[in-house]
Amino acid sequence: MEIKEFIQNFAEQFEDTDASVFTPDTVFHDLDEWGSLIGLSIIAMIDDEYGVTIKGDELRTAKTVADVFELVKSKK
Amino acid sequence: MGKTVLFREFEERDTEFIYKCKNDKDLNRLIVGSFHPISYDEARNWVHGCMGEHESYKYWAICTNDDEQRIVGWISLSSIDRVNNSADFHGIVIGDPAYRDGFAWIESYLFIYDYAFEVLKLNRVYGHSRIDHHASQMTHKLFHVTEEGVLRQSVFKDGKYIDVTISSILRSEYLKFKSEGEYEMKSVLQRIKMIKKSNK
Repeated sequence: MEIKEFIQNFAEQFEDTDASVFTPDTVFHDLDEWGSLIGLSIIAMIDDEYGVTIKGDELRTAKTVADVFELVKSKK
Repeated sequence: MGKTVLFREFEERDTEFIYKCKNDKDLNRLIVGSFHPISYDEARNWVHGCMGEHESYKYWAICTNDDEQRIVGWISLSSIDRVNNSADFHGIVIGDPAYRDGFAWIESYLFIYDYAFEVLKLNRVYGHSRIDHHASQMTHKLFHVTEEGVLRQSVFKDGKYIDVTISSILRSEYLKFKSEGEYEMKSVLQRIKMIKKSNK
């Protein structure tokens, strides 16, 4: 499981935010576009692409894209 | 699945949060109503107005599911009409970005539908949303809400006229979809995936 691909998959859930914005250190809650639907899309993407179920409080605890990546990796 | 949020009466301590949210232009960007900054006193009065039982409207504070029950947003039903058994789902506001993970939002929708259809036993819940509020439009698909039409140029905001969609769900539909498991998180996630794929 590679972080580069994960970041790309993560970024694809955002419609109005350029992919170049996303790095491992991106604090995704601070992005203008961040919202409940994006949150759900991220959870759905992780379920679909990585076969991992993320809970809301887990996503809430994660601050950066790298945190989410590590969370998913730990559940695989 | 454990609950992410709880729903409670508004309390005096919610005033600070409401003051911040009501003065956040970004947060109010996509609401149908107009935005104007309010004073702390106005925020306090707003909170007081939400408290208690009212014949035609009901507001709840969305709060953390712990001992503190800190407010993270609010939700409301308005225009409760006991003759026609309908109400306006005024919308959900999740002011705390950390709680915009999707779970609080889904739980809020289901809470309102449960209250409207199973407690009040209303027949119809409707709502209005800006046509450019993509999240709202997607919500309709996720919760099997029917878009009934467009109120053309019905809102003037930020110097332009905006179309507003009107949508609704009936009690019979809600109960049917609920019994079929359509409002379980697994089903909602499946629909999100399908909608995203079809939009590509």
